[in-house]
Amino acid sequence: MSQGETPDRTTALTLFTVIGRPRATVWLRLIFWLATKLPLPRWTLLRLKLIHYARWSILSREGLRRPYLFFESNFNGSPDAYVEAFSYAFPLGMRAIWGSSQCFPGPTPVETLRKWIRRGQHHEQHYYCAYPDASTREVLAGLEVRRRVGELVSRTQGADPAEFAKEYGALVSGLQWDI
Amino acid sequence: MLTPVARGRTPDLRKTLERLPPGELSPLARLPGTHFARFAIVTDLGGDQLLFSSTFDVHPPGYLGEICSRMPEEADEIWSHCDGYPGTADPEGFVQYLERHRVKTTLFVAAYPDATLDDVRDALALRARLAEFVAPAQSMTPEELQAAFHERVLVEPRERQVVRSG
Repeated sequence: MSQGETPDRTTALTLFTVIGRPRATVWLRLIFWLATKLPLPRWTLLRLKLIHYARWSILSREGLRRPYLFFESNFNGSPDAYVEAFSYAFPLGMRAIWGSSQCFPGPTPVETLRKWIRRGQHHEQHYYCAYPDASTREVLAGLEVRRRVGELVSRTQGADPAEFAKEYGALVSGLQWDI
Repeated sequence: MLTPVARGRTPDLRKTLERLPPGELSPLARLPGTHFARFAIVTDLGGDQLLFSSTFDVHPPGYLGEICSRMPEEADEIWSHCDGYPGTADPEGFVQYLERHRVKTTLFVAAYPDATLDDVRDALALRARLAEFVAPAQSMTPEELQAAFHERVLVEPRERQVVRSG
């Protein structure tokens, strides 16, 4: 097990791939720009609630013979399960982002994709996560609990016990999937 | 950021990184607002490079200064294996060095972009307290419920408050 695969729930993936044609960086920048402007790509990426944070960078600095695409992710579960989930949930996005990377096999079959990722993957010599026991779902649930409890506190300032109990019942009922 | 590893120093750098303690003992845990961070040696970018990346709450220049002031020994042990490293004895040079090797993020996605590290930790703790409270609360009178909710759910455990103020 590498440092990036913590024994609990959070895992790191660090991937460098060679961008096959230098001019493809223009296309990639357009894709990434669109992804920052349109909600759909991010929604598609995040809807599985596996990713805490992910980032991409195009490396075309001086001294590099070829441009590279850097990708890193902090997510829940094993890299194999993560790759499989995204090969089915995000196939068009994967083609748009990594289609210009050398030897990209496409999102399926997933085993071929996994082998390709392993070739470009770099193991982390040191990985830190501030809340390693919490999955993305748990963090999102916690933030929702916090928001709803805050609302309850504002609504029940000066409330008598009966009113408070009613509001508390509504809170717990509304949060049944989050606690 | 990607800093060039000095020729022949990769094995020593690898040992240094692998010796860093994990979890809350990691020097990276001392950097305020850090959610996730990693070090990785990248060996095929036209010479070995050290990748350091971090997801944090603070604005970059301030954050690089925090690295210099909060983990100087470890920073020197790590980046002294890289070409041109000025050392933490020169804080301005340290920040400029890392700035110079900073890689611009082209796309960043976050499941909870507006939440700071304190928000996340508080939210997880509050959720745990509420989950623990729900079952015993079922047998409470409204008066008991109101008092106990404020006492057991809203109030942070005393030991945590002490740690935060320290």
